[in-house]
Amino acid sequence: MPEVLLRVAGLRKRFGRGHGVHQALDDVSFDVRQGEILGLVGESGSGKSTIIRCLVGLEKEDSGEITYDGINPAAASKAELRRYRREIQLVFQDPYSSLDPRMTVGQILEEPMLVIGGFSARERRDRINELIHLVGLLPEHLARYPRDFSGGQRQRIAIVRSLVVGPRVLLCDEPVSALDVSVQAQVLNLVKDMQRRLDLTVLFVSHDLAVVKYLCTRLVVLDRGVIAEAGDVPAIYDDPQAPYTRALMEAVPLPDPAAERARRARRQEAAR
Amino acid sequence: MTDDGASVVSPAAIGRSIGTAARRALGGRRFPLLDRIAFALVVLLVLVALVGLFVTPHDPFMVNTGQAFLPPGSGHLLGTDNVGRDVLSRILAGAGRTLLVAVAIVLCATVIGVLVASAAALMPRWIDESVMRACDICMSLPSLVLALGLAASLGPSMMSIVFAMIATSWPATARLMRNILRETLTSSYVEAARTLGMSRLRLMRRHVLPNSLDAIYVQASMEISGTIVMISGLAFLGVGAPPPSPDWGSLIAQGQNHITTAWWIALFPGLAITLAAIAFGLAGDAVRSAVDPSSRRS
Repeated sequence: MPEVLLRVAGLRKRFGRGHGVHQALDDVSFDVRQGEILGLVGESGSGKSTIIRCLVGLEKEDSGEITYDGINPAAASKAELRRYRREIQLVFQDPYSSLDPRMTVGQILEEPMLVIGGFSARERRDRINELIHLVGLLPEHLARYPRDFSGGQRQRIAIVRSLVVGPRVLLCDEPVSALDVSVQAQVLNLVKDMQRRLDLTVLFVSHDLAVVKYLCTRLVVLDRGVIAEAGDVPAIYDDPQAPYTRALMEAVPLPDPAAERARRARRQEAAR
Repeated sequence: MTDDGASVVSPAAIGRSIGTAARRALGGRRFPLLDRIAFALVVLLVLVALVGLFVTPHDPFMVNTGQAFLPPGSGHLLGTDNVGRDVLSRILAGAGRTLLVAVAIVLCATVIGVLVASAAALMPRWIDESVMRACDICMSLPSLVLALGLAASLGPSMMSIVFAMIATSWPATARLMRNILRETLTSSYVEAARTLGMSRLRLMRRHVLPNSLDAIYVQASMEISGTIVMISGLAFLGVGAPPPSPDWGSLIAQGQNHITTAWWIALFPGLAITLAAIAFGLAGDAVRSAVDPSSRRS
C-alpha cells in the first residue's frame, strides 16, 4: 500500500455561536495516499469545502490535526510552512472569480512563484511556458485578461496557476461545477492527465457521484460534517453500506429512460 | 509666448488629448456625446479657473465708484458691482477659489477615507467595527450645520471651509470603501493569494485596492458638484474668506442687497455655480456609467 502523504485527524469546526451555531465538521479523519485521487463527496453544506479551507489555512480548525509529510501546519517553522504552501495547491470552484480581473494571464501565472520565492526570472518563464503548453493554451494568451477567456479556458489557467510552483498535492474544490457540461469532461481529463504526468496526489471534492466514479480510486462520503462511509470506489458503488450513500446514489439519474422509469416506480412503490 | 494671449495649442486639441488619456485610463471605452460634452465642460471650467487666478479682463479688486452699478453691456460684459468692480473679472478670478478648492477638498477627503478604510480592514475586527460606527455617527450629523459650526469656530477664511468640508465628507467615503473592501477581501482571487502566504500589505496593494477603487472614482467625481454648491453656500453665509474675496458664494452674498436694482451682481455668479455643478455632476455620471460593470464591454 502506498504511503500516507496527507492525514486529517479529528477535525472539528463550528461557525457562529449561541443559537446560530453550526457544526460544520465533527471529528473528521481520513488519509490521502501518495499518488491517488481521493474523492470527497457530500451534499452542499456537508463540510467538504470547509475541510479544503482548513487544509490551505483559509479557516482555522477548532481542534484536530493536519499532517503533511511530517509537517503540521499549525505548529510549523517558517521553512516548513513555505514547503507546505508550495507543495499543497488549491484549484477553486469558480474560475470566474478566482482570477484577478485586473491582471494579465501572464501576471496571474507568475504570482505564485513570486510569493513563494526562489524562482529565477528564467525559471518562471520556462515553467509557465511548459505548463500552458501541457494544458493547451498558447503563448499569446499570456498578454490577455481573464475576461477574454471562456469558463473552461479560465479553469485551465487556474490549474496552471496551481501547478507552476511544483506541488505534490492538488486540492480540487468542485473544479467543474461552475462550468458548462460540454467542457466539464475536458477539464476532468486534464486533471487526470496532470495527475499522471506530474505524479500528483489529488483530493477531489465533488457532489457529483458520476464524476467521482470516473476519476477517483477511493472515496470519502461526508454527511453534515461527519464521515458516513469511506473506502475503494468500486466497493462502495457496488454495495454502499451507509443509508446516506445509498440515498446519494439513488439521486443520480440513470442514462437509460426505461431504467430510470422503472426505478422511479420502485421508489413510489416503496413509499406507499 | 506673446502678451496678447494667442496660443499655439487650441482648447479643442487639449480636450481631445485629455479625452484620449481618459479613455485609455478607463480601458479603451468610447463615451456617448453627452458624456463627452460634460468632460469638455469640466476641462474648460478647470482651465478657466486656472487662468482666472492670474489673468482677467479687468482687475477684479480695483474699486472705481464712478463706474458702480453699470448694467451688462459695453465695456463690462456682465456689468459692474456696487463699487465699480467688473463682475466677469470677479467671476473668473473666483472660479479657482471655488472649483479648484472643491476638487482639492474631494481629493483630500477621498484619500483620507480610503486610507482609514484600508487600515480598518487590516485591523482586528473590533477596531474595524468601532471605526465604522464612528463614521456612522459622523454621517448622522447634518454636515452643513457641522461645517458651519467648525468653520465659525476656526474664524472666517477659506481654509476653515476647506477643513470643515474635509472633516465632514471623509466618513462617507470610508464607509463606502470599507464595504467594498469587505467584498473584495472575500473573493476567490484574494483567497488564492492568501493561501500562498502573501502578506496583508502586499495583498492590499496588489489585489484588493486595484479592484476596489472603481467605485471610489465614481463617488469622488459625483461628490465634486455637491461640494461646489456646499462651499458656495458656506461662503454665502459668511464663514469663508472675508470681502473682497471673489469666490462665487461671496459674490452672491455681496450682490444680494442690490438684487432688485442691480440683479446682475448676484445672478451671474449664481449661474456660474449652476453651470459648474451641472457639468461636474454630468461628468460624475459619465464616470459611473464607464465604470459600471453592467455597461462594460470586453
